Amino acid sequence: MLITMLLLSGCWNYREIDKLAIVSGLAIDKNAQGDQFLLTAEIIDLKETMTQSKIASRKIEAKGESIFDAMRNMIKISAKKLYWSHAKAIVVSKDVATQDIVSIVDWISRDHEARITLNLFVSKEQTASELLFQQSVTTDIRSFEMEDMLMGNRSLSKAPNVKVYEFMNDLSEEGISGILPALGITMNMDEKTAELSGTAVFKKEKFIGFLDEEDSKFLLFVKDKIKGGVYTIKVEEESPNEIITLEIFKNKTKITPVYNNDILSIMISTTTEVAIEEQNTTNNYIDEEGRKKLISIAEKTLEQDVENTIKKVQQDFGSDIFGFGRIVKAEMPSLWKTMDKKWDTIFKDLEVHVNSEIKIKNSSLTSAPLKVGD
Amino acid sequence: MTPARNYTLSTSLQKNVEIIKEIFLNDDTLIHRPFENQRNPDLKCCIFYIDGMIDANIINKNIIVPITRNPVLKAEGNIINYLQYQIITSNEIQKTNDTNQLVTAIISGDTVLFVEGFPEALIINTKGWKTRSITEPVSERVLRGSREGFTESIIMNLSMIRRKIQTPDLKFEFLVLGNQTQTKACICYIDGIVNKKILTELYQRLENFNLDGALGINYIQECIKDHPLSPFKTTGNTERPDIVAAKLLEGRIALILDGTPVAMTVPYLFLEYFQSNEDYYLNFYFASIGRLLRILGFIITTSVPAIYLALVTFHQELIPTPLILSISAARQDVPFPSILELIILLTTFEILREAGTRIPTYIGQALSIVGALVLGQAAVQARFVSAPIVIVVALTGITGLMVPSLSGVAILSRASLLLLSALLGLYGYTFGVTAWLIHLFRIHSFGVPFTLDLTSFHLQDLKDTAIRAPWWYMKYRPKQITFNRRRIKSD
Repeated sequence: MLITMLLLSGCWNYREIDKLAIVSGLAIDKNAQGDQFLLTAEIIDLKETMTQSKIASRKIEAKGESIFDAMRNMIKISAKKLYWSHAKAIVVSKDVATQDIVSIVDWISRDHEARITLNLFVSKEQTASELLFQQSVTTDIRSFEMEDMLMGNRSLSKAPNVKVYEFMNDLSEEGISGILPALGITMNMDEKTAELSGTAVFKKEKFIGFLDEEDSKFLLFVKDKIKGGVYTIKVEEESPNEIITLEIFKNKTKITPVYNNDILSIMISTTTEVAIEEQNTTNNYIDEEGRKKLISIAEKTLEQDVENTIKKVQQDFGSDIFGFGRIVKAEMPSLWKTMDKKWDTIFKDLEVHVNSEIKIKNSSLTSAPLKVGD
Repeated sequence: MTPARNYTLSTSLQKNVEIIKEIFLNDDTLIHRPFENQRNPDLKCCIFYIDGMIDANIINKNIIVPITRNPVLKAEGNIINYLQYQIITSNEIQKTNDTNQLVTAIISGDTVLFVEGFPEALIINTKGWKTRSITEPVSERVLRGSREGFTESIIMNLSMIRRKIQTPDLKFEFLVLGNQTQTKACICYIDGIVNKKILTELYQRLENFNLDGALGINYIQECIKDHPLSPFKTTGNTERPDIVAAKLLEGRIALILDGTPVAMTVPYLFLEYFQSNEDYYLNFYFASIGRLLRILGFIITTSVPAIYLALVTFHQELIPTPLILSISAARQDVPFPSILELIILLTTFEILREAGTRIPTYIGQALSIVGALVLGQAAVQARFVSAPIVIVVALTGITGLMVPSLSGVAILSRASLLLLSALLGLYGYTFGVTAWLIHLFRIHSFGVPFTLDLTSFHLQDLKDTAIRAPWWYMKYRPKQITFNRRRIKSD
C-alpha cells in the first residue's frame, strides 16, 4: 500500500530544467494612458554550439492589466513558462513607482517563486525597460550586472543597498519611509550603459524624488549603513586646492532623541574609522600635530555635510527616510503617541545636531608624505 | 555410503578388511596395503588410507618399515598395544574400535592399521596434502604491516594466530560443521577478555546450523545473523591474521573454517566497515583523515545521485544561479528526462565494473573505469546524456570503490534513495535516509547494538570512531563487547 501511495503521487512538481525559461530581471513600465502595465523580462537564452555554451539574454515584452496578468501573457511569446526563482533585479519606472509600488511589492512577497531578497531599482530615465537594453560592461546579462553593482556598492556607498524585504519593512512601519537605489544611463567610452547613482525617495508609498550621490552617502551615514567608501575633504584655510582622501573602514551611528522644554531634537553621533589614502600635497598630516588638525577639519566637514543633507531632505521632500520617527517611537513611546499624527510637519522643522568623531587608523603603506626633491 | 554405525569390528583381519571395503564401495582412492613382519610372517597387518591425502613418506618410514623390519616382533600377547606404544613412530596414535571414528580418520587423511586377531584398529596421523603457501591476500593490501594472509589449511591458520598472541589464555575450540562436508571449524577467543554471553550465544547458533555444507564463511554467516534480511552484515570477514589478532585482543571471537582463507569475527559493528588495519600502522593524523574520507565517500556514493536529481528536477531554486545556467545549457536537446539518464548511466557503470572484475588481469578494474568514462564522454558528444550526469555518475562510482565491503549496501541504498527522490524530491530523499537510519540503529550484532559508539557521549568510546586517537590514549576496550575494559596495565 505504501508503494502504491508513492507511485500514485507520480512526479508531482517534477520539472525538467531545460523546460524552464529562467528570468534574470524584469522592468515594469506603464503605458501612456496609464491603465496597462508593460513588462519587459530578461530571459537567459542558452545556445549550445557543440561543446561550448554561450550565455546570452533575450528580452520579452508583454502587456497586461495587472502585473501578474502581464507576466502570464509572456507565455504567448516565449514557449516556456517563466521561472522566477533566480530573478535578481526588478526595475520600475518613475510613474509605476509613484502609483503602484505596493502592488509590485505585494506580488514579490506573495509569489512562491520570487524571492524577497531580490533588488528593486527605480529608473531615472523615461522608462525602465531601456535600462535592460543597455550594453553591459562585464557580464552578458544585464540583471546580474545590476545586482553585482549593488554588491560592489559596499566599497562605494553612493547608493543604498535595499532589498525588497527591507523596503517592505520600511513601508509598513510607522515613522519611516522607504528608499530604493536608482539607476541611470551614462556614457562610457561613447557607449551608453547603466549606472548606479543615487537614491529614490519615497513618502509613504509614493515616489517623490531623487537624491544625488553625495547626499546618498550622507544619508547612509545617518542610517548607519556605511561599510566602506571614500570621503574627500578640502583643507581650505591653509592652502586652497588641497584635497585629502580618506578611505572609510567602519562607521557606527547612534541616534538619540532629546526632549527638552517641549521641543524635540535629535542628536546624531557618528564614530568613523578611516585611513589616509591619498593626498595631493606634501604637507605632513601624518605626524601627531598634522593628524590632530586633519581630524578636527574632517569632523567639522562631516558634521556639516550630514546636517546639510538632512536639511535638504526635510525641505525638499518632507519625508522621514532617516527613521527618526521610528526611533522616537521606540525610545519615547508616550511622546510618540502625541506626535504621530502630525509627524510630517514636525519632521520638517526638526532640529538635528550631528557630532562626528573620526579616528585615523593608519595611512596605508607609507607613513610619511612623498618627498619631492630638487 | 552406508552408515558406518551399522558395523562392528571383528577379530578376523579378513572380516575387518571386508567391512572397510564395503563402507568405501566404489571409492577407488581407498588404498589397502597388507604387510607382515619379515621374521615372523604370522604377524599380519594391513593399513587403509586415501590416496592423495597422506604423506607417503610417513607411511613408509614410520609404519611399514618398523613393523616389517623389526626382528623381535612376534604374533603373541597384546601386540596392538606394543605396536602403539613402542614400534610405530608417529606423533599421534589412537586406538579405537568405533567404525565411525575409523571412517572419519581415513577420510581426513589418517592411516588406519588393522592387526590380525584384534577387534580394534590404530589411527595414525599421516596427513600430508599440498597447500598453498602463505601470500598476501589480494583484497586486503596494506602499505606497512605484515603481508601474511590465511591459507586454506586450518592448522596453518591457527598457527599464524597463535604466533601473534602467545598467551595461554588464547583458546581454540574445535567443532565440526556441515552434514555432508563435515568441515572442521575452530572458535578462538582470549579467555578473560571475551564476553562469555556472546560466546554461549555463538555456540547455540552454530548448533542450529543444519546445512549440508559449510564451504565458505558466508554459508555460516547467513545462518547465524541476527537480522537475516538486513543488507548489512553483522559478522565480519577478514583474510589477515593481524586483523583477527587485533579483534581478539578487543574481546571479539573469531571462527576459522577449514578450506577457506576467510575468517569470521563476531560481533561486528557498523564502524568496522570503515576501519582498516592500515589505520593502526600509520600516523594517527593520516589515519584519522583516511577514515573520515572513507565515511565521506560512503555518504557521497549513496546520496549524490539522489540529491542531484532532487535539486535539478524539483528544487531548482536551491541551486546557485551560475550552476543552474551551466546545467540548463548542458541539458538542451537531450532526449531523456533526468531520472532516466541517471538510471541508464548508473546501470552501465555497474555493468562495466562487474565486467571488469571478471577480466583476469590486474588492469581489469582500471580498464573498466576508464572505459566507463570514455563511454560517458562519447555519449555526451552524441547528445544522448548531458555532461553533468556523467560527472555525477563518475563521482558516485569512484567513491563507491572506497569501501568495498559496503558495495552491496551502497548499491541498494543508492537505488532506493534515487527512486524516492525521483518521486518526491528532497522530501523523498529525507524519508529514505530516515528509513535507513532507523534500520541501522535497530539492528544488533549478537546482542551488541550495531551502531555502538557512534552516538556515545563518553570520550573514551569515541576514540576509535571517525578518527583514531593515538595508541597511548586509547585505554579502554569497547564497552559492550567485553567487561574487562582496561587495555593498558595501570601501575
